[in-house]
Formats: sequence, C-alpha cells, structure tokens
Amino acid sequence: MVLRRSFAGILVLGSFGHAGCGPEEPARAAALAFVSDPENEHFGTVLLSGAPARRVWPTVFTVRVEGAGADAPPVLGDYLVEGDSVRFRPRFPFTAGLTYRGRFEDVEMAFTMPERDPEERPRVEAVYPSSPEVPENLLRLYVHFSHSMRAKDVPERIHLYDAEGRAVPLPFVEIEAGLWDAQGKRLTLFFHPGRVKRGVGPNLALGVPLKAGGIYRLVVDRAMKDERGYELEASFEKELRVGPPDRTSPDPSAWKLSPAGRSSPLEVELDEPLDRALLLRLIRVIRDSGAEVSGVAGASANETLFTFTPTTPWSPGTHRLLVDPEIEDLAGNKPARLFDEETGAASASPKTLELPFEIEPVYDPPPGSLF
Amino acid sequence: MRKAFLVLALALYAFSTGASTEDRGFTTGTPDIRSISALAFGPDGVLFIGDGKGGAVFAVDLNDKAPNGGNDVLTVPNLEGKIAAFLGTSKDDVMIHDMAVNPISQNVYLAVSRGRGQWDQEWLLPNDIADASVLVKIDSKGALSEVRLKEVRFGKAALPNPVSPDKKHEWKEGIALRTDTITDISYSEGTLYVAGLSNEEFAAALWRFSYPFTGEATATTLENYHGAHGQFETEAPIRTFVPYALGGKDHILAAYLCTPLVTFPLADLKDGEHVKGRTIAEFGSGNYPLDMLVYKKDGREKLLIANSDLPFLIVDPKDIEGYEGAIAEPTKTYVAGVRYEPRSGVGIQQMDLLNPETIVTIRRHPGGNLDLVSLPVKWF
Repeated sequence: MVLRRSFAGILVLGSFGHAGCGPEEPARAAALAFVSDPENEHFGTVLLSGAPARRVWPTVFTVRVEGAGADAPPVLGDYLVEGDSVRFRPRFPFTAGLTYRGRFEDVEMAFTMPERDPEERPRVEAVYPSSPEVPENLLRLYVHFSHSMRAKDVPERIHLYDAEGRAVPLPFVEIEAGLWDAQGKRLTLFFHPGRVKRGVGPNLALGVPLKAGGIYRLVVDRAMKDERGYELEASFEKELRVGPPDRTSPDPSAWKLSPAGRSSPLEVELDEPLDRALLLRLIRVIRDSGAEVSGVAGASANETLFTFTPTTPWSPGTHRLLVDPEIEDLAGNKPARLFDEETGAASASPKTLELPFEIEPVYDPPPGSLF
Repeated sequence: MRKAFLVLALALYAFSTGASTEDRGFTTGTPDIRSISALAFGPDGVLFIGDGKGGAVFAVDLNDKAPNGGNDVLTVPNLEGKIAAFLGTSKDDVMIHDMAVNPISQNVYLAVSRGRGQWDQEWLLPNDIADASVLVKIDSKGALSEVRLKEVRFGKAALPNPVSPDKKHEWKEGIALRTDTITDISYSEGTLYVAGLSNEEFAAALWRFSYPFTGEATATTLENYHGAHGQFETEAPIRTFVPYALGGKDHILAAYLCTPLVTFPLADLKDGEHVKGRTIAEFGSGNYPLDMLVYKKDGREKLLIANSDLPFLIVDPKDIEGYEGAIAEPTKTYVAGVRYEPRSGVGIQQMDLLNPETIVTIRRHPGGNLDLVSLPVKWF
C-alpha cells in the first residue's frame, strides 16, 4: 500500500447553512485540498470534500491560476464525482512554480506546485532493429529510453500503424507491464509469435502483423512516463519498411573477422542483421588457453557489424570467438534452426560455434628508441 | 421585419441541415485526431480539421448553427494570458496553431497547444513545436470554452501518401517534414483543398477532397519559381492560399515562404500530375505569409495577406488578371511582379473574416500582449 502523500496549501474551511435541514442532521463542512499523485509530487488533483449536492461543477467549483486576472477563465479539466467528494483533474498537469487557487462558494484554498528541472524529461533514445527495412516475419523490436520508465500501460502507449494510418490490431504480445530489462530502460516488443509462425491458429486467423511491401509506423506516445512520472519530451515515431520474410538461418561461418591493432576492437562483419540484444549477450571471446577475454561488445551498421573492444590490450596469439547457438536474426532464426521449422527437423544438439582469429605480435620500440 | 424573416429562414435552414449530417457518412464517436494542424469552416457550420501528424482531414459537426447576422466586433485583450489560465499554465507555454470563424454563428475557433519549450530556432512555426490538442471556442462575448472532440458527429478522409515521418527538414534542425504535412486548408463549393507535403519525389502538394467525403481525393504535386531564392522549388509547401476565380476561371492563389505569390489554374490540377505554377509577385525574402483572405469593400473584392515579418499586403485581383508575365529570374529588387498596397499591421499571427464588415486578427502588440483584435473592413 502506497501512502498517499497529500500536500495542502492554505486551507480554509467553510460551512454551509442548509435551510430546511432538521436539527438531527449535522451541518456539513466543505473543504478543498490539493492531493498530489501518490507516485509523483509534480502531478495532482484538487479535491472538494463534503460537497453538498449535485451541481454543475465547472460553474461553482473552480481552480484558477493565481495572478492571471479576474477576467481569465478557470483551469480546464474534468470533474469526477466520488461519493460526496468532487475531484478536479486538470487537462494538463499543473505547472511547476505556479500558484493555483481553488474555490467553492466561500471556501478557498491555494497551493503552489514544486519547481522541477524541465531538462530531465525522458526520451526514446533508439529503436532496434536500427534499419527501417525489416523482414515480414520480424520477431522483436527493442525500444531504449533515456530514463527508467514506469512499467505500466504499455499496450496503450505503443502503437503500430499501417500506411493508411490504421492501427494494426494486436501486433505485440500484450503484457500490461511490458517486457523490461532490469533497469526499466529497455522495452522488448514481441510480435505475436502465433501470428509470425506459419500455420498455427493466430497466423491463420489474423495473418502476419507486418505484410511484405507495407510501410508501418511504430509510435511511442508522449504520455509514457518515467518512474518519476515525467512524460516523454516528445512522442516518438519509427518507420518500418517491410521486405519479404527471412527464412534463412544466420551463418557464422560466413562472418568476416578483422582483428586490428593492440587496443582496437575486433570487428566481425555478419552475414545478415542479428537481434541486437542477443548479439551483445551471446558472443564471447576466449584465448587459446580457454581464458575469457573481458571486453565490451558493440553492434553497429544496422546490426550487421559486431565489435568487441578488449578491456586491456590484446595479447598476441590465437583467440576464438564463441557464438552461442541461441543467437538469432531479426526473424528469430538460429544458426541451426529456423524460427518456424517443424520440430522434428531440428538438429539434435546445436553446439557453440567457434571462429578462430589471430592477434599478431606488435613491435613495441624500447624506450628512448629513435624509431 | 425583413431581418427577422431572414433570421427565421436561417434558423430553419440550420435546423434542416442539422439533420443532414446523417447523410454525409458521418459517424458518432471520437475522431482519432493526432494534431489539430489547420482549421477551416465548411457549409452548415461543419469544421474541417487538418491533422498533419495523422495525415488526414476531419469534418466535425460542431452543432454551432445559431445564426448571428450582426456586424459586431470582437475583442479579447490578453488572449494568450487567458488561454494560459485556461490550460493552467503561464503565457510562455501556450501556442495558437490556427484560427477559423464559423460564418453562421461568428464564434471563433482556435487550435491550441500547451508546450512551447521546444522553441529553439527562429523560423519554427507552432506546428513544428507541438501538436495542438485543444479546440477552444470564443463566443461573441469573448468567453473561452473548450470544444471537446468526443462523442461528436464526424467524417474522416486520409491523405493519400503524406510525407513520411522519417524525412527531416532541410534547414530546420531536428524538425521532421511531417510537421508541414498540412499547412493550410480551405473549403469552396463542394471541395476541401489541402496544402502541404506529400511523400512524392516532388513533395509540395495540393490535395482535393470532394465533400461530403466520398473516399476520393486528387493529389497534385506543385512547383514554382522563388524569385528571392533564384530557383524553381518543389519541396517548399504552400503556406497559405485561397481558391479564387481569375478571369472567370477557378484558380488557387498561393503564397510561399520568402514570399512569392503563385497562381495555379484549377483545371491543371489533375490527379497524379506535377504542375508548375505561375509566380506573379514577390513580396520579399525573410517572411512567412501566415494567412490570406478575400474581403469585399465598395463592391470590389480584394486579397489580404497577413505576414510574420511584413505589414498587411493588399492585392487587387484585377491587377493579377491584368498581369501577363511570370517571374522566372532572380528578383533584382526586393519586390517584383503584381503591385500591392501595404497596410499597417505587424505581428498578425492569425486572421479571418468575422463578418462582412470585420476582420478578426490575433496580434502581438509592442507591449508584448497577444490580443484578439477586430479591424473594420472599411479600413483596408
């Protein structure tokens, strides 16, 4: 249970005379209070409790920007009746640093919103695959945010539209809290596997979510909030141009390895774009001795180039790139098995693939040498 | 008595047409408008909303058909402050994207957004900065209210091939061309005209939708000579335009940034074609023409243009009809082509006819306030 933090400014209580009330009925007192969002002090509503009767609320219960002038209209918002209380929710969040005055008949209350740093708004930093060209049987999209996000309402905030602007129905596996990494900064959108996989029920009933030749838009609503409650600085869009389905497995034996100098990264030109998250996680480098080389994995060129930058300079000698058989291309095809291959056809036990490469000795001139 | 009869007739007309939206293919619901980029009124108090981000146009029955046949003026001092108070914020955080007057009721409608924080370059327009999401109505007393676009009767038509959200503006840093998908809309005699950017190789486009929407639209890409830039351009969208008959033939009169005035014969604007317009005037570089209207004074029609960096410009259509040349070389002086007459009035951000005798404007005054101000037509 989250404790509701409520912040009240100057609170004035007023009471009402009720003509015709019997002596047994106590006089009700109306009160106004600013109630901040339980999760974020920068958002909130104004609550009128002890509301006497049904009214045309916008005309009798108003919230105004202090100092806006007597002829300025009250703040636009919705009036939500909750029992004998009425809650005013502004259409746009109250602005940091401004003072507002709530009024209901002779009851008044003022509150000031705390200041905040507007630079801190979260944003979408990247979407993978990076390339707008994707196969019809694309399996996942990754959305990377600058801040840890609130894991909530993901299906309502992420949309896929076709070229006519129609929302593609149920494109992703619907998980209300979303598939987030531990930090809450990377969201995985899983195209409904039942629709991508050929010949199973959802595929036959709804068809594939993306159709070859189509142009789609992935839209992340500005209304997505980070864990502090800040909305995105802008909504985000990415175009997806859909090509034919990818029904071939990635082939690590066709990768081109180009080891460079002592501290520069190993570059691996892949035979096709791979799933970025798996690419960064499922490739390791070991020395001939079997000792693992520590380093930082990277992906670029629309996930067709893998780089491995060692933490300390390379040691000369034979190294091996170990590729986990679970690595996948954009359509979920693994080196030894297609995503939607008949189960019987799967090879018995896929093994880790090893790609050897040499680090050449580098001539280090002795200190003081003219060369 | 005659006036009373006229009012009654108008009321009956409004009543009779009120039901007729049933026949226009309208449905009741919440239109999925992503940005209220441009506004224009059609027949019977139907408001057209151009949604640039959504790449569509909407016709919304506002149920605002009580006729106002008067010629009153309307003034709202500190309009920006009032909109800010209405949206619960300060003056520096609101923008007005477009304005249109309902010719039946004379109520003024504004497309409004909250959030000017992204304004970081001189030449950005409101649609570059934010998506307007609130439709504000100003009545004849100057009172503001919201028109909620929920559970309304509306029709929708999608733009064929609007500019891709991926394309970036050439010189507005970080701005997507999508913000100029719809720059202006105008209705005339059964047709809704939509100016903006398509996803074609030559992006500048004019779409025509027959109204009531039948699902059919024609799309023409446009090209014209910009004297101030010394070149033909196909990427710059029309900023403001009016459909207008010149010499008895229907034309589009369009103004562009830096400020050529161009005519396109309507007969040339065929679907799928690329059309070169005739540049007939140059009003000067470094200026956005923001709004254009036709008013009638002493029985003669005149074209009035409001600008970001110039005063009002008045152009006589007779001068356009009498001009046979076409500007196709760099202008040697600041202006060229058809003559115009200036009128005092800078800082005019929005403009429309309130009634036959009054032009309503939204104007930034030297003191800093943004006011809604009426100007008598006879003054022009």
